[in-house]
Amino acid sequence: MSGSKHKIDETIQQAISLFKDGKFIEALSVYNRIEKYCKHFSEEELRRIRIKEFGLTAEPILGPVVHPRIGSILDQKAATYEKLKEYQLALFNGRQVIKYEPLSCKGYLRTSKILVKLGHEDEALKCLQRGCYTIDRSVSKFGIEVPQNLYRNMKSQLRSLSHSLKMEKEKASLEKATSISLERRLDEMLPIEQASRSSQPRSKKRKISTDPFLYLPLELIEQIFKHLPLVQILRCLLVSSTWYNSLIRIPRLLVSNVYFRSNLNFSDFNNAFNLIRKVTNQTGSKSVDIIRLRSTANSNHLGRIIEVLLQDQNVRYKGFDILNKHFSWELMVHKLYKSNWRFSNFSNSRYWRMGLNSSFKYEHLLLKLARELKQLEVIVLDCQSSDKNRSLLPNNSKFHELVKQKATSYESMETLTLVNHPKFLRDSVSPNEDEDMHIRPPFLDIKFPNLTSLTVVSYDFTNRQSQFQDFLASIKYLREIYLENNASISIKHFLQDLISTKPRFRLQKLVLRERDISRPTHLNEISDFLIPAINSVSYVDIYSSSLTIKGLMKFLQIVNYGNNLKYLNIGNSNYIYFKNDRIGMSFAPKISLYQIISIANKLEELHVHEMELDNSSMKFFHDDIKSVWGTTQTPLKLLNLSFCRNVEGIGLMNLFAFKYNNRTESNDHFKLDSLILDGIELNVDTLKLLKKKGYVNKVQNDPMKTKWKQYGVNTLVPDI
Amino acid sequence: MPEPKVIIISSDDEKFPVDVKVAEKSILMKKMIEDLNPDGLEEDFEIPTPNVRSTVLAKVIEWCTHHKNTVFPDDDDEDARKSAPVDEWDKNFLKVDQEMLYEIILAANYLNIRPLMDSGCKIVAEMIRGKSPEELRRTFNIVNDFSPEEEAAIRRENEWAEDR
Repeated sequence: MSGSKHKIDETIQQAISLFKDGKFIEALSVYNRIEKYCKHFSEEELRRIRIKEFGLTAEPILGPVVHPRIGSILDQKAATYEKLKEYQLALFNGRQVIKYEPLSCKGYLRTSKILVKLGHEDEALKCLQRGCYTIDRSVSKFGIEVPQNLYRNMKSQLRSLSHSLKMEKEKASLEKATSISLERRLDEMLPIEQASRSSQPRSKKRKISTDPFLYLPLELIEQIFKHLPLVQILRCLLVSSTWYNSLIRIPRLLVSNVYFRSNLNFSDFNNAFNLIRKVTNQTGSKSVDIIRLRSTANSNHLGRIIEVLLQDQNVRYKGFDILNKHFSWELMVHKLYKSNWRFSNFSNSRYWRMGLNSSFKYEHLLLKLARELKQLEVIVLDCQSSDKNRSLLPNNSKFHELVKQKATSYESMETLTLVNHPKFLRDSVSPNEDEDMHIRPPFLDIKFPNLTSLTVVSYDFTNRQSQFQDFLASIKYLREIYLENNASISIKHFLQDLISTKPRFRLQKLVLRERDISRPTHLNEISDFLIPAINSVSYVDIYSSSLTIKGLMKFLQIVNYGNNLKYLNIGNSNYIYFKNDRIGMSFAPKISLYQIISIANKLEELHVHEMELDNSSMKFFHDDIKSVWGTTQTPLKLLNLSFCRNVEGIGLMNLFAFKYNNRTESNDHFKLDSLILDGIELNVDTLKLLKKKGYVNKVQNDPMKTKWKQYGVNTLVPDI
Repeated sequence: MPEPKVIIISSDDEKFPVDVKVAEKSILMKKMIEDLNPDGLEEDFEIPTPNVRSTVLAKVIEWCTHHKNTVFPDDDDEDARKSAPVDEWDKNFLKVDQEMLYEIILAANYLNIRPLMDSGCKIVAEMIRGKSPEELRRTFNIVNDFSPEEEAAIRRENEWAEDR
């Protein structure tokens, strides 16, 4: 390969002298030969040539990896065709120069010159605008140098062209103003004119394009398009070559969030991926913020897609989000094995979300491969038997070696979400080892010192309480915890654990939805209110708890010890009854709102959906709110009474402005920002009246709703 | 003595005297005023805007005058800026021909008036939203320069995204 630079330059000189002698055909054949030669190198070889023979960087700042002489060769080819009056071929070569060397002035100058000759002044203007813009940006961004004479030439061409077009435009708009019928005629003429444009002198009377891409620089185009959904942006690629070529140069539009549609097949995916490669090539940025896969035609298609994701050299993923019923971690391991454990496209991922078709095993392998995860969500979407998945695992020593190496600490993780399929937990009878895999919470043997948010749903902590205690105790800065439907995690045990381990974290958000509610919890065992980990939470959700009134009172005193509580959900409580009209329940002790809000007196949101509330309860609510806060200074902004079917219009009126003995005091009511009344049938006029009277700003009422949250117990499983 | 004014000069040398409060809607002008008059304005202060012609500048100043007391979300709060709907007054104000709209956006960008630029961009986005390529070509008078083969190739490339 050595000496090829010298040889090429010599041949170019030979072609130039042929050109100067007017032997254009001969010159062309030399150029074609040498072009072919320059293009025959592989990318690897080109990199080497660029560095060794030309002292350049391996890759240009913009544009593909090409031979450094290719631009000049094509430019001269274009010039030769110009001489031969073969303008379409000249144009093609001029555009090739721009494509191969987007930072060279030559391509833009040549192409615009030919376009002017062909009578396409507006396109020539576009071409020069694009050139100046691209080069300007690169000069300011990367500090590159461009030949000043060529660059000045480009700018002055641009100015004179834009001036002459403007004059024409003004003339045209004058004509437009004088005759509307002319415009209509122009419309009719347009297609004919377009067809004949290349051979005949251009008509002066043309409708002026108001293409935003001609008026606005790319960064403003980006500002416009960021308001549009991906599908629309993709559709816009079809408008014109200007739109296409501009849009694929804005990485943050097309490939920052790659959301694939559902029921994807491999060929759709492959086409999409070609576009993604194009954009990453154009913009020089390989990074995709997030790639999101939903359902695929079948498991075969999914497998091939994953192979491409693992193996393609052009793209790196910061985030990966897959919810697919064919997907399992074992499938990923299988494909990894097939691609020689190449994980580099994902090794710097920050965010992973996987929906699996069976339980999550070999979880340590993921942490071993992806070293920088900040956020991991694993959701077991289905409860298929894991035999099929197991058969995917490679039986080779590398795999066994990888599985054996277990990390003890993982620094980067901040948000960990583990959601099991509730059926695994429900069906598990005898804890044999295989069953145990399905209900065993993963990662309990790892320390996540920087975790701020932890979510665990539908796992079994029986016999693992002490391990979980140690796990929690190792976290310093936990802010949010969400525990739902886990066996052997109850409010009582959770408080006891915190008392005995005294963790360093201070929670802001506590969600603890118990699984076992068969017996009422009074919290008699807890004598200490000082539990710093949860003393200043602002958000508490104990939906469907087993707490009794006594238990709730004690619990509230603990969580509101620091007087920070702003959000409280005690919906669907199993052993708590509010005061109401029903006689049958009169022997059970009743709680009043007063008891709650006199403790949590900064409460802004209260959720008491699915409770035995009725119109009288609303009267009591009114009195309690008034006696704690008065009517003008209530901190309460939101009240959720969904599925309290005995609450009617009159009750709601009573809630805000209950009148004793018909005494009317018009301003003696309090106000809420919003009221949620889903699952209750109410008269539309009542809802209107609530707003009209100024009692409440927003009312949400969906009477058709059947459940408080769409997915029952396991509220975190998304719908796919 | 009357309150000193900021005099904004368009590219075609027309002068627009405005209150400081109005001019300061432009972060560029605000910084200029502050940097060059650290003790506050004592006399009229001229600011040339060499890339904004007078008809566009007049519109921009009309906007700044209308919004002189409006509090906008923080420039750095991308999400709030993105999700906020276009103000009704702005919507009517920007019912101008497309070329004028682009020039207002360019001027707002140059003068650093983010809320005006955002409104303009959102209105152009609305012109694009929901339209087919053919409808878009009609909206902006664009000639389709793709060959049928190229068009088919691009069509293949772009039918994969989630529809939302």
